[in-house]
Amino acid sequence: MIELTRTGKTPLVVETPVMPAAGTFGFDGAAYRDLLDLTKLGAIVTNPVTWRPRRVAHGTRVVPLPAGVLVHTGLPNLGMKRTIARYRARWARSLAPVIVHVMATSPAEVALCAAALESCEGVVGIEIGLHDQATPDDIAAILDAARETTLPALVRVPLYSAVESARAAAAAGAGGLVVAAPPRGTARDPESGQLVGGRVYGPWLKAQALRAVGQIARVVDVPVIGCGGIHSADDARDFLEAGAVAVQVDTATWVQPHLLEVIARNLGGLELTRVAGALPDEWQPGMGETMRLLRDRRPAPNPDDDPPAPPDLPE
Amino acid sequence: MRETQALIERVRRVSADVQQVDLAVDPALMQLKPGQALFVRRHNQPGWEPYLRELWIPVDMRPGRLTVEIAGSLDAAPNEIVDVLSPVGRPIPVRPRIQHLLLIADDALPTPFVFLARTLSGGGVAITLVLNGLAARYPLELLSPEVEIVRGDADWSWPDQVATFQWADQVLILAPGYRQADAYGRLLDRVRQIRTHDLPDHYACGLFYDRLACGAGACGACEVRAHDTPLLACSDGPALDLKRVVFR
Repeated sequence: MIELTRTGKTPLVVETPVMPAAGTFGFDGAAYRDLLDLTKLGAIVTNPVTWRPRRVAHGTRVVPLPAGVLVHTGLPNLGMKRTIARYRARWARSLAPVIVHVMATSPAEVALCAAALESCEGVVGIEIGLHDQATPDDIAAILDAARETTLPALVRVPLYSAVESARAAAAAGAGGLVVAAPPRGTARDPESGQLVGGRVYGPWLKAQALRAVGQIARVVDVPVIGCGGIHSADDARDFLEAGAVAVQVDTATWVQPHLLEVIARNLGGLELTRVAGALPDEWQPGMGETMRLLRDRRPAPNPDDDPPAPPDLPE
Repeated sequence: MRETQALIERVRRVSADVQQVDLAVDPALMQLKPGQALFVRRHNQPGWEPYLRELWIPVDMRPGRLTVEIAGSLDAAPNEIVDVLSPVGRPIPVRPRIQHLLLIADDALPTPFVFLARTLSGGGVAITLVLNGLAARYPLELLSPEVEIVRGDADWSWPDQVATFQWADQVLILAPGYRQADAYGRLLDRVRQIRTHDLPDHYACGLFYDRLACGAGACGACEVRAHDTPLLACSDGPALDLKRVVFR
């Protein structure tokens, strides 16, 4: 079991240290239900939700980059009330625990969102997405507002102010930190010829996010979840080595959906191994059952059997 | 949606803009309907370039073989294996008892219409295809011979335009992402001027083949603003009833 938040009244605990990043997996994981085994994920992090509804951005929203992509959606969502109305039942029967990503638009709206999520079955925590320009005072006010719920709160910090924001969030009582939100960039859309601003993703992001995780893990006493550019189990392990307790996989899921499950199985000790004659790195979705399940199926010891011999005691 | 693999059997360069690729595919893919597409990534692709999957649109289907049309600039070679996510999107909603179908390709290659025209013309539906702008560069020999071709001009007009709208039982339009608001809104205005009393559901549909990020309905990047619930081009489209779409 992995604790994603500080030990307290309501710690956030997951079985597998791998989950999708906010904005990549939809609001309930249904989009990938047929492509990967959701039970192998530690949690599902929803797309960002705001208190008021948000419309989709105008114009170009996806621009291909060399080994990456720029995305500008405008974070469309139905607003917290309608989102809960639509997804409450699905969250309650979700195959993985649900963490709802709440955009930190203002302390008052974060408080409303946190209170609204309090009674949602299946929701085990909230993740607060900080604005890129959030100051330490802003962060303190937002985390104060998040105390409207007893749900544990993670804080996702912007990449280019990760250390400062992480310090401020830890001091203000964040349960855990997600390091980091993808940075912003600008690129020319080859189709329309216009410059487009948005968040940039890709494997190259890993080096920057990994450095931020290492720096933050040394200076704060709060569990850190690494996020940014993870495209393999080795990438994920690098984040754990740098000090993260878990990882979030972002756009790799769009490119190779089963990668998320591969990473989750690898880090969760759930790979298929010798029983089917396959090596761990040969595993593919649908290949068979896992070692953990096989371990669980072993018969319990029979009390009528001879007890094991006692260890030799010193004279 | 499911993930399968396909083998490229043959590549035909048809023109500077278009090449057709024959794929040996999983039998499950033989259930694809016009409008549905494949979301493809090279199987042994070194590195992450290109990063996102490509949308490959079927134009023909024979037992065990699917023919798709891709841009002439893409590299595809026989014996290459590709990873396929499919189906992306829903079948194009063809109105019941349709007799006349009007297709408009506005500054976009009419590839998504080819499979539809091939399917419907066999059932006796009369099809007219209007080619505007870039669409006029499309090689006409790739279309069914039953399809009537009309060439439009840059001002979005073509011969007997009013008549084509009057006899059509359904109108489908295709435009590139950056022109959709203009072209699709203009079509809806024209249709409403001509058919003032009745505009049944799916009478005028726009095809939203935008560049997709996830292709599965997860990211929201292909959301289309609608009067009621927002629509996703990848999972609700590609053909969306223009009555429901907000163009402002």
